[in-house]
Amino acid sequence: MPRARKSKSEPRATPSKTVAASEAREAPRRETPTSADAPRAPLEEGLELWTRFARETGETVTEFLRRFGEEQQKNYESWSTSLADVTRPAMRDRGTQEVQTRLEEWNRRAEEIGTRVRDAFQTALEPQKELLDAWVKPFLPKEATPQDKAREATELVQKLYTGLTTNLSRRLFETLQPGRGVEDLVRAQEESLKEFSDSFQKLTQLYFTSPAFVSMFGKTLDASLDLQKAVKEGDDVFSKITGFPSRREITELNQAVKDLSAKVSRLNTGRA
Amino acid sequence: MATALPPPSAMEEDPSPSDPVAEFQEKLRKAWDLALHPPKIEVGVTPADVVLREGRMRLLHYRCPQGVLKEDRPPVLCVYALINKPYIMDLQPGLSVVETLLSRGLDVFLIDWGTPNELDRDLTLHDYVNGYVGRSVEAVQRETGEAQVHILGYCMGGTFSAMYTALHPENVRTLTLMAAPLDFDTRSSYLNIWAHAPGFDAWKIARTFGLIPPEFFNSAFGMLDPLRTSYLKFKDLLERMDDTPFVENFLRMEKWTNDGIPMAGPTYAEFIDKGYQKNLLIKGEWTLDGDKRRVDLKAIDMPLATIVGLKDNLVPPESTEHVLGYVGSKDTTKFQFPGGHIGLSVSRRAHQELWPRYADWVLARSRGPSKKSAPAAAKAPKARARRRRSK
Repeated sequence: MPRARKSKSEPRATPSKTVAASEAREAPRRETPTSADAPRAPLEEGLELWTRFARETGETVTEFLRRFGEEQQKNYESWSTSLADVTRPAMRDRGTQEVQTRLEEWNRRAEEIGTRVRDAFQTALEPQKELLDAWVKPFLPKEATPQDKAREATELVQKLYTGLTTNLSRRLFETLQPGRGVEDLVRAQEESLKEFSDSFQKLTQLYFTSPAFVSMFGKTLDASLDLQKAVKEGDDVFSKITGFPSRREITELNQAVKDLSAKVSRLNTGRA
Repeated sequence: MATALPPPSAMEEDPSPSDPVAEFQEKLRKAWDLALHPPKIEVGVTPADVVLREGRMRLLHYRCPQGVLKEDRPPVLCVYALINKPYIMDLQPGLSVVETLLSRGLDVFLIDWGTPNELDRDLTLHDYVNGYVGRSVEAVQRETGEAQVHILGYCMGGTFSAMYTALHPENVRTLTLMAAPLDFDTRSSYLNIWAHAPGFDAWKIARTFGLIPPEFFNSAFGMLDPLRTSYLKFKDLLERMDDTPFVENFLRMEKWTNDGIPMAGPTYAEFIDKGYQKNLLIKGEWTLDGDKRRVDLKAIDMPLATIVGLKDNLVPPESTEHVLGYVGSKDTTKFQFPGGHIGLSVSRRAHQELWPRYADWVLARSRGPSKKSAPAAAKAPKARARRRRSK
């Protein structure tokens, strides 16, 4: 994180497995496995990572998120003030330089926020390694290292964030400069949407056709079928125990009665 | 929205009535009103008589419009898919395949599959192809006295039509395959790729559901173009809220999209397994009715046309057109249209450029000697007379 840390313990530049592994090597060998050697549950692992994050940054995650929210609010206020100035006709000429300066400041701060969001996600998403791997796998060659995957995932998040908010807002904002009309704004909005739409199409094309997604799709579908089957069997068991007809049987009977009525009605019409 | 603002001074003095913000708010108000009080919309309004009814299936025979000569109209049987309802071919006056073909002098029949229910859960492809389509052809023969009919198969209905024609070529004068999945060995559509996902077991899906619910299909179709399905189409609607014909057309399309029907499990599983996963039709190895009837595309030797949408992301053009390399027909024609799967039947341009050409193609192949079926021809006048009496 690009800010001063109030670390209570010794900060570690890379609080990674490397350190843990070297500590493990130095520790005396144990004959029997202890709970520390047993495979960690993802939840435990996640909690530990969150704790480590808090220790290193000197604040809790909740605090970080709250502060992040406050900064977002400030940015929004700054942006809305600038927007109000630009759109107020009386300000259009004399406020140009001031507005431009504010715009640049806002852009700078938005980019800074983007970087920090990326950092925060990198730390926060680390516990979800498996999910992350599955998500980014389609974008990467098979030989990608875990670091490549993590970087790609966090950059994607950042790209989405900046793509959806910063870049779009910037472009719209620029069209609100003096001398430019609503037509420019509408055009910029259309162009942004088209750009986003094209990128989205490319992304879905890449993602939906990737072997990793296809594999995930098949497995998820298979699992959901098992679930449906279990629910259906539960329904059948209930009907066997209680003697009540199952929902399916009721539907079938209702439909058969309806069909029969329609047939009789047709026959009667024919006779008449 | 693309309205220029008046100069700033004018804005300050007198807020213009064409204020874009006010316009936008007005459109939002209209959209809200539309959502709360949707107007009643009608689909499939071209007058028709039911000439065959079997289970949920009905065969519709469209009435000859005024100003068109009743005699010598070649009969065209439209075979639609088992996905959603066939009124997409008769969506609204002016954008109706049925209406266009009638006005060009064709005698149009359409199979309406109805809504399958629990009693239909065991139907197989054989039941559809040799059963319903077969008996529909017989009904058309009876009604018109013609021994051979022109078949127009749309989407999955095109696959059915190709199978029927290969098994009963003597009954078919021309065959037209419209956006029909026939060669499944393509990676141009997500569906063809996803069908090969490990763990995708069509028979397990069929066993689990019995009748495959329409939501199952809709979820997959929605993923083909998620941005358009979830956002862009509504944005277009909002922008064109003042364009009444556009809004009405939008509502009709929404009605059709959400008016899905379930599909019998075995039919679905067979179609996915033998088609999407094993591509047996092109290989000449697809069998119906157990293993009793092998579908040999070489038996299709009558004039054959393909109609494809060049932007079709559901059934890619090559999936339909590749069939031309596997049939016995010498007289083949390709109709290509710069639209999507549904645009083929509901776009204004298709009704100006595509369907008149198709009608001419059929008319040109209806002249000359036709194989007459004596029993069918003998029954036809009686059927016509009966119908006239009932009217």
